[in-house]
Amino acid sequence: MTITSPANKYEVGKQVAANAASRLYLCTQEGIGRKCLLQIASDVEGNGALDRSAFILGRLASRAEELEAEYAAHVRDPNKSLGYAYGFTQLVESFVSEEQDGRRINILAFRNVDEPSKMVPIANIIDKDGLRADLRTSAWIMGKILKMLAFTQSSGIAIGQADATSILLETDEHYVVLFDFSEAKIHDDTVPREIRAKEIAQATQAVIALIGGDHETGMFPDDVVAIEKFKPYVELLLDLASGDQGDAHNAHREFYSLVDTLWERGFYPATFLKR
Amino acid sequence: MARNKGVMSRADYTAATSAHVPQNGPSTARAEKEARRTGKLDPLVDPAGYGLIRRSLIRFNPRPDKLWEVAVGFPVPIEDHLDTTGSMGDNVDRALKILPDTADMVHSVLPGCDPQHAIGIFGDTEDRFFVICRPQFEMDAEKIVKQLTLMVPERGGQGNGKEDPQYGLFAAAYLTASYANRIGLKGYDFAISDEPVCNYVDARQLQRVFGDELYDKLKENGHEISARKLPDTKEIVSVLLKRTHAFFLQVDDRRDTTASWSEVYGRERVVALPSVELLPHVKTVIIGLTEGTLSLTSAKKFLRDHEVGSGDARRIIDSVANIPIGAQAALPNFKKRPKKGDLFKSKTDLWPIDANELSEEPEAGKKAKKGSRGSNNWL
Repeated sequence: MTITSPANKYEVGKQVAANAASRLYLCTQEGIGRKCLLQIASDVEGNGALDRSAFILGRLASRAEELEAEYAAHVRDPNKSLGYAYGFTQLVESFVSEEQDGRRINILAFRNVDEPSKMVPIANIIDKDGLRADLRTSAWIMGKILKMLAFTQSSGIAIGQADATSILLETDEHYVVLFDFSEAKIHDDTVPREIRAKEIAQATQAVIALIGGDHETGMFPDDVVAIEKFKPYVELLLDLASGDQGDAHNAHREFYSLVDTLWERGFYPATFLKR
Repeated sequence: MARNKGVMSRADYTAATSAHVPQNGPSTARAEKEARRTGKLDPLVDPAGYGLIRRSLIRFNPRPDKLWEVAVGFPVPIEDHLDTTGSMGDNVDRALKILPDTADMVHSVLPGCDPQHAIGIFGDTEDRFFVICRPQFEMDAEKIVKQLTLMVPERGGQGNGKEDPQYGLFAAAYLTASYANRIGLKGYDFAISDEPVCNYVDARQLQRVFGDELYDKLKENGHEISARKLPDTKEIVSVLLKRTHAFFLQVDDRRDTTASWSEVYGRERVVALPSVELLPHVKTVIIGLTEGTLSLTSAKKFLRDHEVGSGDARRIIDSVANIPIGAQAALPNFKKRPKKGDLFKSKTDLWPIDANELSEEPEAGKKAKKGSRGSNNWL
């Protein structure tokens, strides 16, 4: 099946996800062969959420670019970047399709990831693959999530959904993407503290689940709790999951000040264990 | 210039202002003087006037075959409640000045529709004469301009930390009858102020504003309300939201004002209005987003094209980004809205007659189609 936008044509592939407001399909942009995701509103009622989501992705892209420019002027090293833009999807285009009963469609792509199917929700690793991450793998995932939450929240965006179904991982190159902005809201000054804390808690709960733990009972797999030196790490995660931390910048700083005492900085291949 | 029925022209506006607006002083000067003399409002803007209930109906042209033809399009009632207290005391003059822009811009996001404007004002219950003025829904410059000049803003407000728009909201919620509501669609309602809203209505003030007929008229319009058990402002707005897409447009950025109106409307319906001069722009963006004729991206372009400064544009977009986008377009009968040229059997019918119904009307000398299903077509 082909979907035509005012500017492009997309060959639509298999459905990969759905929620109350929209459905998600793999698609390929005709002509250049770029692989993307096609998000279509379930009905006209869902158009607003997709419009807002598209607008917010544009706003975040502009903000990431501004910060990148400021950083480049300060650091003057072309090999260094902040990399915020890798933490959310690129909006290729957004349009209302008359041939699809007036429903809005967002075409999304992942920066630096050519194959969208390589991006996997945390929930799928847990539930479908039956895997759990080792602690060091969880550390780079959690670190990147906190960095992105600090970025979105300081940009006045409450993402709304930061659970295991809306955080995607690319495990080869270590990309972590906040994916679902359909419930995101813009705040004219700052995102209220309770919302910031809730997002941090929700995302941390997803990471705890990925490790094989339970944020409510505080239980973790035996091999995790067996090593004394990792106890502060587990405690920090539980603290972040409790909803007490309302500042992602602070959380990010505290997180790395602890993580740097546990592991050396450097590339660590994603490591998953059977549950 | 030829008059295009249904679209307010600038020529009509100029003619109307020449006819009704005094050359010096406030546009409402004559009405204010008259009101001070008589203690009464002109019935056109008196909330107790003309049977209390304000109506937004389809405009029809009669046809020789006794059918009624939709003259302009689907009627969309748009009611404003303008604060005229303190620093906002000259809001009627501002509303008059921006009326052509309001009409043009709003029309641009309501294609095929018949926008019907009711621009009212409010003050404070402690004001000496009038708490609100509520006009009729009108479409033509002549009538809207005339009604605006009949307003009596008291420019007080009493400095008591609140104003009393809730009486206008009460009227909008319970004393409006619109065709849009009859077919399950909604109109628009905008309250504009820089002050917090009072959270209750008082029976004595209701009597003062709406007169003796109030409770009978409420009943006539489908609302059983007793003076002993009046709704509070939040309940009034919850009813208002069932029949309109309602928003509070906040001038200035006082936190207590934001908090007060957010409590009543929900935070997502409190929208920044950087200045009253930008009222046409903000209303248009809200209506366009709600109708689905603008997206957030095209709304940004709309503001840029209409020379709204980048700071104001960003503030507006940020505060409309969370409104229920596409809410009107998502309503069940949105696509079935009557359009210009549709024919009704009776002016009070809910829907136009079906095109097939028309073609099946027997005509002298017309042969019945062969093989048509259903009834026999006797020749």
